[in-house]
Amino acid sequence: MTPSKAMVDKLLRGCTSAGQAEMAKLAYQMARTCLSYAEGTTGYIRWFEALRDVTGLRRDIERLERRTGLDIDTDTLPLASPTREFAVASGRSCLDFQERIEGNSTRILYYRALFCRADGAPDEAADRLEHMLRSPLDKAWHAFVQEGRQLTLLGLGRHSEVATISNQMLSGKNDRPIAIFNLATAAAWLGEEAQFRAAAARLRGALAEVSDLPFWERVVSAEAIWFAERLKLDPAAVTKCFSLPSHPSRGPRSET
Amino acid sequence: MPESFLERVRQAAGAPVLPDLTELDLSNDLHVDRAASALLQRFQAADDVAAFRLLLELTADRLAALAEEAAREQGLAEPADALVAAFVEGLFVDVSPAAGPGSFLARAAAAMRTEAETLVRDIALSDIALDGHHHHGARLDGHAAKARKARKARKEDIQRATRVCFHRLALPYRRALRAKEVEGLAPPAIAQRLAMTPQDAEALIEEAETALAAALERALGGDAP
Repeated sequence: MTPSKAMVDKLLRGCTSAGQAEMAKLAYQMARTCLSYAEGTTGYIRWFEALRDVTGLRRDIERLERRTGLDIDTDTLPLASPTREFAVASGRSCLDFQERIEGNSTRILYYRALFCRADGAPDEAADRLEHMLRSPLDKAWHAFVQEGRQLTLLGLGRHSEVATISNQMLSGKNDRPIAIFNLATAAAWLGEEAQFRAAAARLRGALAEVSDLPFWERVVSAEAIWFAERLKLDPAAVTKCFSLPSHPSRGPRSET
Repeated sequence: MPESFLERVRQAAGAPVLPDLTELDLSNDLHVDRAASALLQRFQAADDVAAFRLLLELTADRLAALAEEAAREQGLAEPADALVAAFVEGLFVDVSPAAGPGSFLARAAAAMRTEAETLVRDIALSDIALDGHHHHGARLDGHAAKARKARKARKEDIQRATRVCFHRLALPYRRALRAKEVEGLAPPAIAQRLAMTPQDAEALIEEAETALAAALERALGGDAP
């Protein structure tokens, strides 16, 4: 009647392994959330991701730590909204932990580069991302890394490079909204109104197939004023260039 | 099972489980279910791995039987222990607020039946997708018929290998591929389904496709990367 000890041990090993994988996933989420605090984008998220609050994440990580016995330095995890410095340290610590479980994966390398950017070293971030692009990456990651590099270059004021990269990325059938938006941003900063309008029109077309319109509405409305200033246009005219398909606004995205 | 097993359960659960009894009757489903539910509650409330271990000791045989039943009902060749593993791993990593007391065995049976049904649906849909490439042309001569028979045999090999390889993939990979290839969901919808970012969902799908391709290479005699 009693199941064999070997059978129970095997099930428990599988559980521990699944628990560790889940911890790595939560550490990754914590790192991303910390990045948003470090970069000051907690109220305005540039990515599609819904971030979890740090308190809940820390609680879940601690619970899985108790269950798996896998040690994580919880002192480095924020209890509540962290300062920029603590967010950087905490995010990096989460990536260290994640690396213990899954090795030096592409996503860890990617976020390490972004933490350089958040830590006031955007040049190093750009170099790291460029280095990643020279190594073998699958197609999806290549695009993410390229887009991360574009954002870093935008922050460094290297707009011509961003425009060149976007044009390379967008050749052929590729219609990634972020690459198009980065092109529009670079064009606006370079004062290239015709190129800006073309990119805005292209984004409009690309978004016809994307379901996350509220995100793009927020992004466009947040950036319109800057584009308008650079292009010496009225913000309403800038917004009209994008004329996103109408969608009921949901207000700021919740991060909890 | 030693007489002290009920005491072990009571100590591990930290609750007066089956207070009227002096001994746990392991052939009695109600007794086992009550004890299991108490142990699960303890595990969920205090992350007490000792309680979880005892829960497995108490129920592993029953879980195996329930999995066999679910697999048999669905005509699955899939080893039933994969259903048990998926269920208990799901319990172990679930840190959401504990649901109230309920029947542990009923929950296990329902979860494993759902997983078995999903597997069968995947298989059926993958068969339909592959059959969609049939050509119903003119009557074939002997040579062409032989070639067609060889192609059909090869296709059946591939179908079989695909099923086996798919079901040997880790659960997250199967979920990602099921969402993309079987249900035809777009990446944002897959990301939402899997509670992850579109970047992560795309990366997961890519990893799953690579894993499936490698497994197929091995199964069909090629060289895996």
